[in-house]
Amino acid sequence: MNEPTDETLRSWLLRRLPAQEAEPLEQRLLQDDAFGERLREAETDLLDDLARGRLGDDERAQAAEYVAATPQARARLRFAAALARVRGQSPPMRFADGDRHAARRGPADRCVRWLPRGRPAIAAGLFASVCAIAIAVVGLHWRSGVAPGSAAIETTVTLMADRQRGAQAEQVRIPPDAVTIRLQVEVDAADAQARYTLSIDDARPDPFTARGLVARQAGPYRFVEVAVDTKALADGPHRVRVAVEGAQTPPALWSIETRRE
Amino acid sequence: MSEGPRTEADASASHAAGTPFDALLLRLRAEGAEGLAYEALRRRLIQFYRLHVPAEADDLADIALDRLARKIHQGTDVASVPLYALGIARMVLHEARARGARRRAAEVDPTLLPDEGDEQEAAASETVFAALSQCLDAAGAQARALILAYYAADGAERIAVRQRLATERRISINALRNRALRLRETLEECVRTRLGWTRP
Repeated sequence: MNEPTDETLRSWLLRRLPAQEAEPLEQRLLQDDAFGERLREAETDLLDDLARGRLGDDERAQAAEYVAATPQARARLRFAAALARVRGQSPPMRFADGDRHAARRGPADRCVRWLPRGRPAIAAGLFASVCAIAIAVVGLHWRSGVAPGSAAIETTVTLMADRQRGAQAEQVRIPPDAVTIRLQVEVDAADAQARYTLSIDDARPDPFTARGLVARQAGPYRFVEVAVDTKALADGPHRVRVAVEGAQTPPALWSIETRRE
Repeated sequence: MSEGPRTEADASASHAAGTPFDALLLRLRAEGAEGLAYEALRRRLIQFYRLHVPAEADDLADIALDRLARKIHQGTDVASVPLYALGIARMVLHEARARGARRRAAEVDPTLLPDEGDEQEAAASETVFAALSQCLDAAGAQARALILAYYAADGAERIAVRQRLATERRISINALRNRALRLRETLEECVRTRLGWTRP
């Protein structure tokens, strides 16, 4: 018997495989431990894709049906969603187009939902930062990447280009136990070879400057990223500046106000 | 499936086995350590039922195993335990489908899905995320790196990434798959334990 492809196994899981094709697979499942492991992996990959919002409408509906059937599968989906979140692969959220719950949830909550029914995922293939970027479309928020109470708490702050120099400083909450934060700043499309300098003018005790930054792309967003010691972002107002190195264009500026809570 | 007259060996085996379950374990002994073989067979049957009636997979697997054990205990000539078990499993499935229209309706009930807009669900996901983070920390850097790398990619890239990981570790793709699956199961178990979930 030919080795079935991953696609065949997925079709089997989603009950799309004709009976005459499924029967020999069933036989093999009962006889071959290694094949059982392959099927287990196919199931795991399906849950991961569902949790990350990477399935088309039909597949998503069928996979959701599969998951809905048992508490065990739903628990595995929760796990898959949490794992995706660790990797920053949660699907983008719907709050930007009028999610009635958005205002009542913390920003981190918006990163965690699975089964994005009713809206196709727009960020297939995006990497670790997509969730934070999706959140920041409406402003500026933080998210925790590690369990509360952990010394290794990682918080991402994302500054979007359209929030520059607003009338009011953007409010940034920094978890009290955060040691460093990841600061992501959207930059305009430019020469792929461009390098950027990011500085925090009034960082304490010393000004913060990072040079030679290379922009990264996540879907429609292009940004630079730095790790900043939270000591440099003591409570109060700060100004973040990003400039293309060697260019005559004026730097992009953001006003933020940090607060530990 | 063959179901012929009892052989001398069968009679001897079933005589030695006090209960149907004992008879099944004795029969499975030929395939290795009976405890492991039994668990493996049960796991495969659960997988089989998950493909058809996932809501009843565990229960139906136990029914099929019970019938298999009784057949063996009665001295039925079973040439291949897995294939015989499959035959029984299909019969049990057929019966379950015949009586299960109402239950099948429940299987596709969309209200059983996690509701992305539900605040309790959002809070639950935060809890799971925190538990997983702690479990990953406890698992160590190597395990964390493997699990995140192995389950990182999507689609066609998935195969390439896993092949590369296997090559880097100088092990077969099957060995790597087993390692990743075991690690993931360990993490899932860790999360379940931390959150007090019932074990699947």
